[in-house]
Amino acid sequence: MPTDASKAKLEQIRVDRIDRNPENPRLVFRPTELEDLLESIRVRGVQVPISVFKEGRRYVLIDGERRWKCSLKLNRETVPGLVQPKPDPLENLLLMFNIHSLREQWDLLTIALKLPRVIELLKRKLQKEPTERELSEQTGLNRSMIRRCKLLMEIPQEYKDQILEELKKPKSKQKITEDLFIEMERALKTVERAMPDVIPNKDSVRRVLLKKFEKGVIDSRIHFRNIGKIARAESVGYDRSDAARELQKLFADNSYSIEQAFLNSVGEAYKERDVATRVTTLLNLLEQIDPSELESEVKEKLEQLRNRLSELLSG
Amino acid sequence: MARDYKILVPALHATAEASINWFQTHWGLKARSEKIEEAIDPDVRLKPTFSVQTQDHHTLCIEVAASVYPNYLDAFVLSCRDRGLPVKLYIAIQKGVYEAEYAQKLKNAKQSGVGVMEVDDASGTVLHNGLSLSLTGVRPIEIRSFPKKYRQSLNDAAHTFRDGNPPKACSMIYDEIEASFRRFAKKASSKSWWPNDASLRVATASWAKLIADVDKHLDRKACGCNALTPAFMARMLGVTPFRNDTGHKPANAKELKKRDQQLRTRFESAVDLFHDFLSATKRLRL
Repeated sequence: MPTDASKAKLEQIRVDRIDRNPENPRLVFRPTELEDLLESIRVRGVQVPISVFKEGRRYVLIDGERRWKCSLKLNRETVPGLVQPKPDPLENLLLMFNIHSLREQWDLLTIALKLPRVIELLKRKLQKEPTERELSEQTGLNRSMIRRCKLLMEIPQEYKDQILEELKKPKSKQKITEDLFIEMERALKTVERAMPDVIPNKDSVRRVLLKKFEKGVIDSRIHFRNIGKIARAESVGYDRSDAARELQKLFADNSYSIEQAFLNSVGEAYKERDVATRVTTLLNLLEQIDPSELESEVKEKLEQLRNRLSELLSG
Repeated sequence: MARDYKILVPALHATAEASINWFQTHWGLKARSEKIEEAIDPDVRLKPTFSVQTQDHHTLCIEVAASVYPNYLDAFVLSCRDRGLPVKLYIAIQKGVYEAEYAQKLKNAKQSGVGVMEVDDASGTVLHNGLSLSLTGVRPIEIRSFPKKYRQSLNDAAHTFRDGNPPKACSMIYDEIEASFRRFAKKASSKSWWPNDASLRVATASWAKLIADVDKHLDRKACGCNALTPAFMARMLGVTPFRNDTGHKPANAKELKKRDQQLRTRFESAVDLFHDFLSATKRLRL
């Protein structure tokens, strides 16, 4: 990034001369967190300077909106601030992204909402669509996070609004979360790739799954991963059309859960694959062992294993 | 149209609007003195969400918060108290907010004289009223040091004070002092410790006149109330001009500030006077 932080100057800045940065991706400030910070600043003052750039006679925030708000609230006259050279629009955004990727993380959706603007500005600068790697280098976000953001960018606006509302609550009370949508979107993408005919209308499927989650029919967002496993039925030798039927049943407005669909279809097949994988690993390990060095405890366990295997194979 | 909040988090804007609208409707606030997130005094280190001058010259402050009594408000309350500012502070929270220490925080707010209200889109409920913070530093009454028969009325007076009607609270203490002094005068007359040469009607004569006459003619040795010295009687005589003064309405905020400071002192010294009088006349079981 061209903006050189070493050129920044530390100053005591009048609180009433500071404006928030309209490009700040952070949209959600949780009241209880702000109250805690307020008390800390009241007692100890602002310990970490905010970052700003000068705009005429005023200053625009790059980093430290919560500290600034608390200072305003506490009727403080000044706040310590690093005054940086004025960045261009892309640098302005990237500065904020980089500062936060190294510190307390913003809510993922707020990053996802701002990412298209970063992509647009980067595209103008690079004269091409930025790759995931370039985006990662420029924003300081890791690639997995960028992929997660991209999933969130694609969900309809009504769900984004719903998440934003939920984000205002304390973390412990949030139910309809970004992670829920990320798991759901990943699962639906897998189904679309493997069995496109099962999802004629993605939005109605989303609606049904969300309803089931809210009602507790789906009781964990992790269960969405099993939708992807059902869609990849052929990889474990399960019949594709049977799996598709289970998914269609799951995507209908009823009380059929993901776990039921999983157990009634590919559950056993995945279990068997899991056993096969583990047995292969075990066999590889056993080949490296000298029989004369076997401890009695291990021998006992292996005998238990032999007995169980005999039962299974004779049955 | 919603007000412009610079500091308050968006999640609480609706709570702010609902609480301000509630007070405007129920308290008849003057819109022109309305301030959003502005300091009420340059030396008070907190800008409440909303402040406005009330019809009775108090500054009504509404602090919109996520919890019942956030820690940072203690400093605000102390600041107003130290400066004798006639501020009534209410914390507005959303209805149905659950927090682990809800009851304790509600109690803390009440003890600090801070009002609490819950609002939703349709209604507002004041859980308890705010007290003028200039009065919240009033010394609590040591109720056990009084005879049992007076404890109830003293408790009532203390609650009246804390519930925001200090003139009435002072008046209640003065009533008790006056009534017990008249009982004393009646007893002193019947036992001939006080001759009542002026034929004053003990039940209806001016209280000041009664004190002056008793002071002049009381046989202190005979009644065994040596502590009722002329200095003590002068102290009692000193409260009589305020006896009916406490209900007068101040004309502006400056007068209110002055009155509140006086009322706090008057209330405390009236309680002390009552205590001392009862101690001095203890053997008479008034």
